[in-house]
Amino acid sequence: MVAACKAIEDGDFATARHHINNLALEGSNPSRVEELEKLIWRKENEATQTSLGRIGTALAIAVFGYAALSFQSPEAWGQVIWALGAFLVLPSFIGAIAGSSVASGPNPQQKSRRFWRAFGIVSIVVACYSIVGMAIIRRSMQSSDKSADLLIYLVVAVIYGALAGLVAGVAGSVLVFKRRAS
Amino acid sequence: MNVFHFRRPDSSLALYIDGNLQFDSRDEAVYHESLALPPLCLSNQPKKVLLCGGGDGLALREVLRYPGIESVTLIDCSQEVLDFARAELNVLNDGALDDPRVSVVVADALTYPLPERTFDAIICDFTFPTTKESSQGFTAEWYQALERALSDDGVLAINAVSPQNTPSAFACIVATLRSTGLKTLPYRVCIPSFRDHGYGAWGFVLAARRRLTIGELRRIDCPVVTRQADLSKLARGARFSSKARLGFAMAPINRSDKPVLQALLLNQRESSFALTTDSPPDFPNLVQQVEITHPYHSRNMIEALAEQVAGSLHSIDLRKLVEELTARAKRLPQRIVDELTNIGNYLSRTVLDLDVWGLWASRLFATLLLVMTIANSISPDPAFAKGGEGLGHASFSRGFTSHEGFGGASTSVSRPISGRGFTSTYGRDPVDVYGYHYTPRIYLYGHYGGYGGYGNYGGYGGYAGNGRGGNGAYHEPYDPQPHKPLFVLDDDLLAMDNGDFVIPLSDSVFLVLAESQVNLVDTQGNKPLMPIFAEPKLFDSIRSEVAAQTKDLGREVSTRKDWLSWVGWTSSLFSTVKADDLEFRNLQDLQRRLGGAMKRLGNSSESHSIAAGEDEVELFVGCYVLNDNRIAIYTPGGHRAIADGKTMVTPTGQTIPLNPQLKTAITSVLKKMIKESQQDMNSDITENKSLLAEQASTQKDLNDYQSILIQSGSDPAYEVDYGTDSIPVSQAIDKTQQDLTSITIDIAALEASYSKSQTEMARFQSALQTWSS
Repeated sequence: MVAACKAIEDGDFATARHHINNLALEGSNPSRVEELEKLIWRKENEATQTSLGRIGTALAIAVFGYAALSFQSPEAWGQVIWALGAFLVLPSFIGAIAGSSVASGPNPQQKSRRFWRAFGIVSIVVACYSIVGMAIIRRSMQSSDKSADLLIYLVVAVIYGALAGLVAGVAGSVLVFKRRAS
Repeated sequence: MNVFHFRRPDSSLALYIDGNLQFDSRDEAVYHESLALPPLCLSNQPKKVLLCGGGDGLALREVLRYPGIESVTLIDCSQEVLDFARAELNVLNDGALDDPRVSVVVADALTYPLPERTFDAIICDFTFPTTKESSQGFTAEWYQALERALSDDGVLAINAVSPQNTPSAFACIVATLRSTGLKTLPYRVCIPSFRDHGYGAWGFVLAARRRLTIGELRRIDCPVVTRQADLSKLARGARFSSKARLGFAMAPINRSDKPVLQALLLNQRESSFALTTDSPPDFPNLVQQVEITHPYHSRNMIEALAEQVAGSLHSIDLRKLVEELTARAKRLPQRIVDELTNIGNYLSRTVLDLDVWGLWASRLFATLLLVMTIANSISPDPAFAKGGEGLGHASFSRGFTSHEGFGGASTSVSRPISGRGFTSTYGRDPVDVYGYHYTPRIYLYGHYGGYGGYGNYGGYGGYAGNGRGGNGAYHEPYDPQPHKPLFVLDDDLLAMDNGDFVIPLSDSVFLVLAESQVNLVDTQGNKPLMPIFAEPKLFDSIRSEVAAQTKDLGREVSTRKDWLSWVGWTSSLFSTVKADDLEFRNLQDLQRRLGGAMKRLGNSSESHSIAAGEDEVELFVGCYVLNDNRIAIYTPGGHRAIADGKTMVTPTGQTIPLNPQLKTAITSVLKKMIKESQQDMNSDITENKSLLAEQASTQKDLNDYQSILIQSGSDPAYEVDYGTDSIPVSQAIDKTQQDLTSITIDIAALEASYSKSQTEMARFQSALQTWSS
């Protein structure tokens, strides 16, 4: 019972459900089990709402952050400033928000989910930003041999996406974990 | 094959094959004349003709009417249709199937062996492709076989589908024909009976090894009098919108092993699927994307079926179902409970996440694309090639030879680099701002240590000597060196590798501009003939052109810099990126060298421009043909030397014999200008003819529309065809009148240009006669 309550508190609903099933099988008080089930439903709904809200916030910040970055080319920003913005500041910020959309329990699986959620959001945004940015420039270059463009876009987008995603993932898992500890 | 026909009381007849109208005798001639006669008219004296399909003998009738036809091979797979044509259509097809010139083959044309390069015209009159089998007559493989059977000058015509009702399928047929290497000319014809059946305007495609133009169709001269079709109007049907033309280029190719035509015919719809804010995805739009795969299916059937399925699925929440089961699992064995728990976890994690991610990723990409596009419109960063202004293409050669003086650069047309000159030949061959490279020509000339007054340009010292003769105008020996053009600013303006500018006047003479001076140089003798008045407008014009093109180059440099800032680190992986890097460096080098050339050019040493007389025609900068055929050459300081082909009066009033090299140079420029004027006039004549034809055609259209307006009882809203659109007749009249006015203005401008060229050429010819005598 205690383990189930603790799991609900941590947002680990799968574990909580497992414990409740065990309670039911062991013949615990059915009204108590039902009460816990209702609690899970309520908490899970709340968690889903919060989670979606935070994902939306992270995505909005990502879109507008990288759109703002696209007002100028990397060259115009200056390579260092651009790299810091695109691969450190924005990913960390977005990663922290995206990571907090997953419950902050100590379960390694949750930590891993925080990492991948932050990684997913940022890497997709950065990959899109890279492809669109490159495509816009490339469209105005008529003389070049563009036979390998698709491959170039893919390689650059994957590497930039992975790099920024990695930073975001680390920020998403570490920063949220630290916040809970404090 | 299901053949069905019916006769009306007025004894007209309509034939249907597999439920599709093949022809209606009341207007079949529109179809068959439009299909069969154009390829015959456009091929060179056709003798041998191949007709595939068309067993009704109607297209064959048209072919046999054409003079000079020696033999026709008709291949049709249906004995039933041939028998029907002989029995029921003998009057309509004029007994064409029994003509001695005709060989009828009952076989599948697609498998029948065709002789190579034999037929002067090939006509395909297949039935509408309703099945996979009948679509075989529209595949790339079949068209390749036809291409092989076509003689070198031969023309192929095929009956396609409706470009109005099934534009994607029509584009697919055009693209498939093009894939064989043949050049195509699609066109459409309005056939009343087809329109009544809802088939829309009907499409045909002409194809040949050579390029076929709408102009040829407009000028089509058919020796056969047509009964219903107006072949002179075919050109109008060959005009397609840019969207349709883009469709021809982008359409998929229909191959035997990868047939697409059937699907395109069955699924004609605009792709309108877009994510909306209401998730799950918009159901009607989603259903619209479901392809129809059978001709007997309809969109309504698909939608009704999909709605039933979706209705059933909608009532089940899979995740909730599994969770409910799990919650009530106490009566189930532990193993099943564990499995259900796993499924529940999997669904809540995977299915939900995937839904969210898929949806969000699509929205995200669309939003990002939109925001970045808007961002780049707001902030015209050169990296995104939005804000730069080009300065157009100023023709220096015309500038030097007309009273308009120096046209200068003015327009805002962007000049993107599209050639590979900056990656492949830069430094070796001259290259222009568009990146195209030219055959290099070596210019041999030297520089002077300065001249201390007007030399004796009679040719016995001074400029024509070694610098020590004459009146000692030159202080240093003249030492000619070979120089290569580095950059072509204009047809008549070259930036040299040493920073000079050269203006070629003819094959044997050119102007060198450097250090605020202009010199006339003879290519043959590689000697400076005389200094020319440094026209300030010329210098301004060059500076303006160089600045404009440097600006364009700057934008290109900036774009490449941005590109390399994204991908520069992959240059060791991709050779294309390496080439971009080289191009970037070469562009930077050219920018630097043009900057140096501008400094070296300096400003004109003269303060005022030449005030030439009204009757003087400019030959080149500082050189004018006078009305008595003498040539006035302005020298530094604005002084005028006048030559008559034998002698020259110097600015000081001295009369000296004319330098033979100077005479040769002037004569060569006169010849070149006569040639150029003639070319201009020829070009004006051609363009004028075309405009007059367009004017007549537009006038006829206007008359037609006006008579339609009268016939419609002066109803201005009465709909008429206007190009590919249908608009109210009053609007069509307005638009046609505007077109007519515009054409009239163009004709007037062209006539003025022609008149000017004619006057100039007469003056040059007269001067040349005097100078050659």
